[in-house]
Amino acid sequence: MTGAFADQTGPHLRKAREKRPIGTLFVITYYAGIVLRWVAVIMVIPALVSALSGEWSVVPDFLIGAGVALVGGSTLVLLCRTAPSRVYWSQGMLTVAVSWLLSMIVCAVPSWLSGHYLSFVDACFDVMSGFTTTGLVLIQDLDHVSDGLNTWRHLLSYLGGQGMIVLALSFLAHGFPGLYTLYVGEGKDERLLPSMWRTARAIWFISVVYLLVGTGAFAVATRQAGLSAYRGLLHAFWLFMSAWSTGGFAPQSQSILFYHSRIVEAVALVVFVLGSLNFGLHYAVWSGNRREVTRNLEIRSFLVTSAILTLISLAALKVSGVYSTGEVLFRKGVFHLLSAHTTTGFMTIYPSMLVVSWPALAMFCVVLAQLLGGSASSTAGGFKGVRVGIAAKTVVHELRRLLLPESAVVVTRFHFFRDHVLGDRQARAALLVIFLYTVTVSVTAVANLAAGYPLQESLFEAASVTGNVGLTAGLTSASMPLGLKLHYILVMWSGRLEFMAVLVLVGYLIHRRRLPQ
Amino acid sequence: MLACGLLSGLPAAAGSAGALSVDVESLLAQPNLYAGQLVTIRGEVIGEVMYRGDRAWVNIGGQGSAVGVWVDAGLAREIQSCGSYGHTGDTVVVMGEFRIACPEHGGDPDIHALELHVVELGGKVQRPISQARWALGLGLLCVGFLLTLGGRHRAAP
Repeated sequence: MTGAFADQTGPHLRKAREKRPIGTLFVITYYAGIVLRWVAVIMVIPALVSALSGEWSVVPDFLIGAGVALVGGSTLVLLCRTAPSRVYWSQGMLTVAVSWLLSMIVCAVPSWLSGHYLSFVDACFDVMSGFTTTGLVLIQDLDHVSDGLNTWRHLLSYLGGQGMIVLALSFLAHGFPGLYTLYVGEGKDERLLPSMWRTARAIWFISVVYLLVGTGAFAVATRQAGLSAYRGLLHAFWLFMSAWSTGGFAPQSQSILFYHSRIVEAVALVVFVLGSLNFGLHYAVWSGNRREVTRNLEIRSFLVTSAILTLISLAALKVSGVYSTGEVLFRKGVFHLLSAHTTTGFMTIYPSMLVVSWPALAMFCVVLAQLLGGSASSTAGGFKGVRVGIAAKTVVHELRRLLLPESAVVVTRFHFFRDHVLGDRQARAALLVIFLYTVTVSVTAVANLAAGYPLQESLFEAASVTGNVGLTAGLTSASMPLGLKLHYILVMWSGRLEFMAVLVLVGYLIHRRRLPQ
Repeated sequence: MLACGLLSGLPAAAGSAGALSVDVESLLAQPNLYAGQLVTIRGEVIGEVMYRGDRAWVNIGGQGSAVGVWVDAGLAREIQSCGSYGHTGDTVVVMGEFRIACPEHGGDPDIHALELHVVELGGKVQRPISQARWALGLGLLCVGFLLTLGGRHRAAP
């Protein structure tokens, strides 16, 4: 029986269908198969780059990866005779959660075959770090990585930030049901256009236009820095994908410091701030609604928190004498604060210097910025600006309610693409996700401490991995315990999907009889 | 040529002109110990030599990281090969002042080199092409295409 049959039946048959889990497995299997087929297609890109660079020993790694993805994906699709005609909310969430895990395993194949990872788990770690636009890495000898593998790493970050599932399904399965549930499952909820399919394509159109402009800007910057034309273009392509997706991957081990260029840093700063903004905001500006920039609660929230944290951290750095001049304070203090707040993870200092040289107050500001995060429906992680804004409004609302007479009716409004009245449901939803992030950071910090790492580094790294940031105090390395690596994979995956999809999966595994629809 | 061995956590033995010999990893792990001091490092040139007028940036790699060296362009031109996937970079010895937050370069940690010598030439790296991997990759793709076509055939009305 399919979802279409259930739609036409009476309550007694719907109840009978709900007791059978096969419908859910059917949906997951079919769409996971579609996603894996898409993974096979995109592996052509790094294979082509390797061929262009003359890296013929690397090309078969991607052919094997593509083959595994295509065989696996087509097998899953073949197991389902037809496409599902309906996707319930919980099934959409499950599909997203499972598809990301399966894709991680398949995408790790070419990475592992490269020989730059000490284990398959390490390769999976980096793939998940890319998908979730975190940026923490376990790769070995990054400075001698092939162009194909570097393209693959940065492409994973770009695709993960855009919404891998939505990409696959919007381009490979036009008009299929449940696209919106999968879109929400990947941590986005802004409908730019009435049709979800058109919304997905609009997001991709915006991203591709920025890709062309941003890569061009980076290409000019890297040439100015002294790179040759071909290498500069490759680096520009990689840097854009990483910056726009607020991923934090870099083609060299020194991250942005490799270029020793204020122009490269400036372009990176502009691109990753733009990348951290809500896609709806980009669309609004493109559509001529520029007032949205000043009225939007999320932008206001981001400006307030980033300004406060920047001022405090700069004051701390100045007082401590770490950085003396205005330019140095800007290039180090502001860059890293915004890199943290947008959850990008680019660095222009070494991790050891964060711990050794930066004062505790500045480090605390960076930790807090990592947690606050970027915008909803963007490539960024963390609490998200709209939730921070709603939480702040909720506090003010409750204070007003307490201070005003009992008979007074307190109404709090905010603007987020349209005018909203603050209600219990919105406050509850925002505070729930903030609570889940906080719990996850705490558990991860405890795991780091249990593994024997110092307190400051443990807290810093916990905030970084949970918020999908990627700044590191040096804790993340291939020598981490296996259990901690697996924990980090789980945390990155959960954080990127904003916990709901993962919690639905856990709930499904525990209570397989019935799912809430 | 100066030896670069170093006990972890301790400053290296002094080399010529009072410079401390240190490896890149130790320098970056404990930068405060070497801030403002003359150091001598040895490592592989990675990436590209980036010329900026009469000066150049050379990144010297160690185990897992690298440090930027600001050097006279004439000295940098001695470098013939830079480390990448297809090449091993020249091994150089650099002596200069280590700055933990260089005010001249936006607060970047770097070394302002006084001397740079190429002590070992790099070169092209032969990467063998695995026929087994090519065969496996192409074979899996063929199977995958057949499965995809089989699925489309079954789904067709």
